Amino acid sequence: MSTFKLVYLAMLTSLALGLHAFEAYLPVPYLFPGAKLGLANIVALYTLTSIGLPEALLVNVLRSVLGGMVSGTFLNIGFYLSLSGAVTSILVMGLLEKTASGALSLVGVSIAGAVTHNVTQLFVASLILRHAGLFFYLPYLLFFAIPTGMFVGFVAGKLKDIGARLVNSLT
Amino acid sequence: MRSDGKGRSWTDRPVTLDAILVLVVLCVALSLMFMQKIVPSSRTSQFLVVECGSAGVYNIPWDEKGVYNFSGPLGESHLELTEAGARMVSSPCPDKICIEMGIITRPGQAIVCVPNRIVVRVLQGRE
Repeated sequence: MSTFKLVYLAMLTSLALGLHAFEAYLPVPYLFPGAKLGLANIVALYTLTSIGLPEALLVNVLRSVLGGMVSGTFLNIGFYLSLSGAVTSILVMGLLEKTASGALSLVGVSIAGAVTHNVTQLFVASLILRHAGLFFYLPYLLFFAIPTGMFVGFVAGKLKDIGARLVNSLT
Repeated sequence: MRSDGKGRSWTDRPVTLDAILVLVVLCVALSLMFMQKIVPSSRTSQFLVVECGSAGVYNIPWDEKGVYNFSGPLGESHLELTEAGARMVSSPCPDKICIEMGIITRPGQAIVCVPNRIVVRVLQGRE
């Protein structure tokens, strides 16, 4: 790993961590507890599309672990939800980015990632609580995944264009 | 300006599949909601628990509609379970507070008749 890449990934991780921590301060819509914008996923998607899947996985897992430590939820239920969602969503997004690239824009990839995130979190939460009743909440989360996924995908796309220019000027 | 290494910007990509994806997610969400309305899953594992003073505790599955009689120290109380929910239809108690409590439908709700020592609760969970 080159020094440039190391520093770049560290910067991306800290950026994702910052967004992760910042999001905790945003008010959650009263009707949809648990619904989130997924700001940190912007960085994950950007890393995925501009560098690669292993790096994106690394950034997202580090973000999740460090985020848990920063917000004091490390090894809590919330931490496991965050980590599992981070891993599966980046894997699905990486798969789609690779296979459906050209047919699916970053917005579509992002929506798929958001849906994966929701399904995984509900699944893990049901496992922890040993109660499948949580899945009644899935359709509401799916509705929410569309606008948030679009937003994340759109911003990541913009960031990719800007970031590519920035990296070119730096190297 | 082409800034992407692949020579195409993300905005150039076709978005038909994106639209299809959004439609699929919407359809799944809507059909899931619809299924919840048709088959309320919470109702299937819902049941009534009637604690009847020293006489014992009875479980009534939510599907078994009808009128049930429970005898307490004052006499017989009649509990009716219908599609709308469970309610006390008659009670020998002096204040009839249990009847005035009305219909209970959701887990956690309860009808209590202190004079006749009857507690009716809606519970939910594993058998």
